[in-house]
Amino acid sequence: MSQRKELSPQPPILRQPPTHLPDDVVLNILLRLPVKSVLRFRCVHKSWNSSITSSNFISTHLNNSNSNNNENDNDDDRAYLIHMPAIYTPSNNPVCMVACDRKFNRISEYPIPSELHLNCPEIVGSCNGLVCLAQYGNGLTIAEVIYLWNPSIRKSKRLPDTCLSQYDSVATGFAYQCENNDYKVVKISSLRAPNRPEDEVEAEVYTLSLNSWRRVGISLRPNVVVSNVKYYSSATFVNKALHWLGYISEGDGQFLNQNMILSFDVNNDKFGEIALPRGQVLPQGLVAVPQSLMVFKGKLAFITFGYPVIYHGFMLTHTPCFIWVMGEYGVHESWNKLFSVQFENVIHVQGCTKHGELLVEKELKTESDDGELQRSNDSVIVSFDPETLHEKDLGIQHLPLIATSFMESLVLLDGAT
Amino acid sequence: MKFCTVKQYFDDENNNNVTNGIATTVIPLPNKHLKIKANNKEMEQYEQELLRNVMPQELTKLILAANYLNFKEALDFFCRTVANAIQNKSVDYVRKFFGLESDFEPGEEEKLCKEFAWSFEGVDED
Repeated sequence: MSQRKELSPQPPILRQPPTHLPDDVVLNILLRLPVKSVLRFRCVHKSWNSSITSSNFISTHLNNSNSNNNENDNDDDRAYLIHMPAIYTPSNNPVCMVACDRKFNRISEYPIPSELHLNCPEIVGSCNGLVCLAQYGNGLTIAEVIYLWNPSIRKSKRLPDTCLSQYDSVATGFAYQCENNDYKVVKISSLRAPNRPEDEVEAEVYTLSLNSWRRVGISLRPNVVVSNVKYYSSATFVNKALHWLGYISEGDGQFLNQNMILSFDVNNDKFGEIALPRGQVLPQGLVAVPQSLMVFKGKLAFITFGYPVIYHGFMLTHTPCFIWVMGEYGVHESWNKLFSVQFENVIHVQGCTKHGELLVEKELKTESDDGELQRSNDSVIVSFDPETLHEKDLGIQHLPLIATSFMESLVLLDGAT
Repeated sequence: MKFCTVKQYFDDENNNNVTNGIATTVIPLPNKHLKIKANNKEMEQYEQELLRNVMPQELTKLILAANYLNFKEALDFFCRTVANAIQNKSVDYVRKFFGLESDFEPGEEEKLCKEFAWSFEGVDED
C-alpha cells in the first residue's frame, strides 16, 4: 500500500523584491576598489572575472583613479616617486621596487620578478602604472631587452625583438597615447655606417595594441640630419610627445653636432626638432652644456652644467647650473631661464618631481681620519627644490633607477604573457 | 522631478517593503552630503555610522531604492560605502554580501586563486 505524503499547504508566494544588484551597480562598486581587491574578487563569480579582465573595465578603472587623483589636492598619501636598485647583489632580502609619498616616505613595495633582474637596466618611463624597463645593448655582447611591467598586478611582458640591430641602441622612450588608449615604445639606434664618417641614427616604434615594431624615418628640415642622440637616455614625455637631447648636422659639414631637442609626436609618429635657447657663456670661458631634459611643473625643461675639465664625468668645480623652462610648448621665444643654481659634487640630475623638486645624484664625500674630505665611490640621492633651495637626502642607496610618476592600475591584465 | 518619482515609488504597492528607514536615509542624503562634503573625515565617520546601523541586506535595498529613483548622489555614496566596506574582505564574504554562489568548475577557481595568491594576503577574517 503506497502512502502519499500529504504536502503541507504552501504559504502564498509573496512577490519578492529583487535582492540582487543590477550589473551596472556592481560595476560601479568594483570600479572603486583598489587593484589588490579587484584581482582577488575575480574569484567571486565567472561574470565578475570576465568583467574585470575586459579592456573596458581596465581603462574605466584607470580613468576613475586618475580623476580621483586630480580631485584630491591632498595627495600626500599617493605614490610620488618609485625607485628600484639598478644592480642586483645576491642577498637574502627580496629585491623590491619602492613607492614613496610626497615626503619621500616608503608607502608600498613591489617585488621585482627574476626575469627583470637585467644587466644595468634603465627605467625608460612610467605611465598609468606601467613601467618600461630596458637593458641597452652595448654594441658587442649584450643585446637589448625591453619589458613592460605592471608591479601592482605583478605581470610583465617582454617586447618582441626589434627590426634594427639589438646591439647599437642608444636611446629609448615610453609613452601613453590617450587618443587610442595605447602605449608606445620608441627606440633610437646609432648604426655604424660603413661608407660614411658619421653614424646614422635610425628609429623604430613599438605599439602595444599591435604588439610589433615598425621603422620610422627621422626627417627634419631639408639638409638637416640627426647625427646623434644623448647616449643611454630615456625620453622625457610631455605634451603628448617624447623628447631627447640630440645633435644635428646642417648643410655640407658646416654646422656639425649642434645641440637640440629631438621630439617624437606620439599621435602621428613623426619626429620634430625644438631649438634650444642660445648658449650662455659662463665666467672663465666655460660653456653651459644641456645636461638633462625633464618636466618642470608640466612644462618641458632642461638643466645645464658648466664643464671646465671633465674628470670621470663628475662636475668638480662650482659652476652655476641653469634651469630653462619652455613656457609655451613649441614657442622658441618662451624659453625662460628660471633658475641659476650652485651645486656641489653633483654627478647627475635624474629628473624632476611633480611639484618641481630636482632629483640629484651627488657624490658622497666622507671625512677621513685627518679631517680631509675624500672622494668615495658612494653616491647619495637628494631632492632639491630650486625655489626654496631646500635639500633633502632621500635615504635611497645603491644608485637607484627612479621614475617620478606611478599609480596602481590594472593595465596589462588583459594581455600579459 | 525627483519628487514625482519618489511619490510614484511609495505609491507602487510592490514597494511595500520600503521602510521608513530608506525614506529617512536616502532622501536627506544630498543635503547631508553637501554639508559635510568639505570634510572627508566626517564623511568617513558618517559612512561608518551608516554601516553599523544598517545590515548588508538593508544596504542592498538602499542601493536598489537609489538606483530606482535615479538618485545619482545617493547611489555613488552607497557604492563608495560598499566598496570601502568590502575592499579588504574575503571572497566568501563578498559572495554572501551580493547573494552570489560560485559558478566556477572545481579546478578553475583554484587555478584562478593561485594565479593571484598574493592578493589574498592580509585579508580580514570573516
